[in-house]
Amino acid sequence: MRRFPHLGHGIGLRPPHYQPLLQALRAAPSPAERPVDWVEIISENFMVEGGNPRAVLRRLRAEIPVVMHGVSLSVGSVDPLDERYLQALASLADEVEPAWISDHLCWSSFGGHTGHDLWPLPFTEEALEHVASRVHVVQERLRRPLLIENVSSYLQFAHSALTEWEFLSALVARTGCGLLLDVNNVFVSAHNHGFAAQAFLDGVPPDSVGQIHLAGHRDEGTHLLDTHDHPVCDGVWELYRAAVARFGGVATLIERDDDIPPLEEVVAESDRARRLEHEVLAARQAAGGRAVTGTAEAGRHAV
Amino acid sequence: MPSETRQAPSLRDVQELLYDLMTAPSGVAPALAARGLGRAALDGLIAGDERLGAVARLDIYANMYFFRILDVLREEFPRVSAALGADAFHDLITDYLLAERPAHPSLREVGGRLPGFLRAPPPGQVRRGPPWLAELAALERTHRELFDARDAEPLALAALQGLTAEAFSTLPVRLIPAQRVLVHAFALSRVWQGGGEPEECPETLLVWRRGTTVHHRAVVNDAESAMLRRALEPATLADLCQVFGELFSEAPAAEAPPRDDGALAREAFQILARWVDDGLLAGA
Repeated sequence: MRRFPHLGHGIGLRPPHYQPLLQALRAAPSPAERPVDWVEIISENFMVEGGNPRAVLRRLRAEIPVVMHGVSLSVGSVDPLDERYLQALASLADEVEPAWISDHLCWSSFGGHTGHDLWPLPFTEEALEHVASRVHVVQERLRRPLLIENVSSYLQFAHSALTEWEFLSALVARTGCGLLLDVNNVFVSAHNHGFAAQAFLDGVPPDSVGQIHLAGHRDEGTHLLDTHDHPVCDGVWELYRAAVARFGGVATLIERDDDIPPLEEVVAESDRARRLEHEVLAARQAAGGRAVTGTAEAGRHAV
Repeated sequence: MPSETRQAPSLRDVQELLYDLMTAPSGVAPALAARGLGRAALDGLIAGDERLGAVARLDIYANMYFFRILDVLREEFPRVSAALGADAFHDLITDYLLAERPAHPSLREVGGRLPGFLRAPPPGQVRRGPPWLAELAALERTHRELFDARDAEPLALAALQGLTAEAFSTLPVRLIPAQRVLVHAFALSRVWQGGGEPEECPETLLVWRRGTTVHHRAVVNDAESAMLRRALEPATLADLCQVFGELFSEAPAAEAPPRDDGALAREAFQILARWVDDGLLAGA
């Protein structure tokens, strides 16, 4: 049973696309002809009192579903959860009524200070217990399950007792949270740490995956760096194909945060994801695989 | 994966050590050395390989910490950055992050204390850049803050038309929330527009957002200055006109032109009309 609806194919909302996206949505003759089915906002960018960001958000929300994606929950930090932040997040959620709320499996603060980054955790029982207890608190506070995203990482801890996918699976089992599977992050971390990306996909519970991220990265020679400043590369598209084969149709989003191209280019990548998903699911259905739920086309009409 | 052992560091210990190392301005190896530790000290904690050792892996995070914030601040303070030059701005932000470690979950707030840091550096640090730099930083920061400050429906001129004299004089006047009045020792217009040194000359700047764009202008008229100061508190149109009148009655006799109440009222109304036109007054 799918726990999170297949919203279709979306993009991360970024300021250069505010006006073109609004115009394109309004110009679409029907919902099925919209350039995207939904958008994801960075929650923190809209935790402001007013101005253009909030005005754009209100207008977009009237047109299509919105998902809230945070970067500052710091769910793995040993610092107390930031009450101001939770209050702001809950207020924004009350106003936006997002399809869901997500953040990252990481820590980003210590000693009352924040690093504005997504720092990796050791995959230990201690960390698992700590993160699970905080996910419970946040879910109760927000009155909904969270989606937790795997991060790109550049280091692993020697004392980790679990793989990342074992850690995430245990977190899902203990808290009922869902997963935001960042396929690019799996690709980057697999390269940086020398594990098989497919093992990651095979290791997480299929019905827990509520959303997929696709993005670009940079090859630094010694490692891959998750930069979101390039188109999605062929290797990540192939891994996405494998993800669709394993998880079925899942709400999928293109992320671009730097060197942001015109809206049409990001939408073209989203369309490519839509076609690829449709192709994989159609092939699976033709081969007599299990019934397809939430295909790209179904996602469009569900909006 | 190696199994957990009794010697495994606690989550708190890991985060304390890594936070210190990743945010050290010198990079990870010098920060380790400052603790009396060698590079090998991380080998038991972080799994390195032939491509990247433990220190190099942690340095990736150290670089991202600094350069992400540097990029955000360069974008928020483009004129301060240009006035200092790239290297000096880099050094400024290095010192700033040591003195004012980010504590707010939003990157939007990371530059909030930079004007104050420039104005009054902590003991032991020299003031950076020209003396007007802190005021320029304050103006750039104000633009940033007003960009997404609270909304208010602006007062329309039509709302004033047709009011009786009494209704007009008792009409409450409220400035929109997205405004700020800054008083500077330097005239910043020239440097704001991209050239030269500002003159040392006191200047009152009115900064406000109209629609989605933040504007500022110098308030050169003493009467408007006085009215603005009054309008920062709850006031009526009559209160503002009274301020205007008092200003002229307080002027030394030798400087004061012959008082013409009709002309004063017209001038006060012109100022108010400009405020309405600029979207500076909030509606009911």
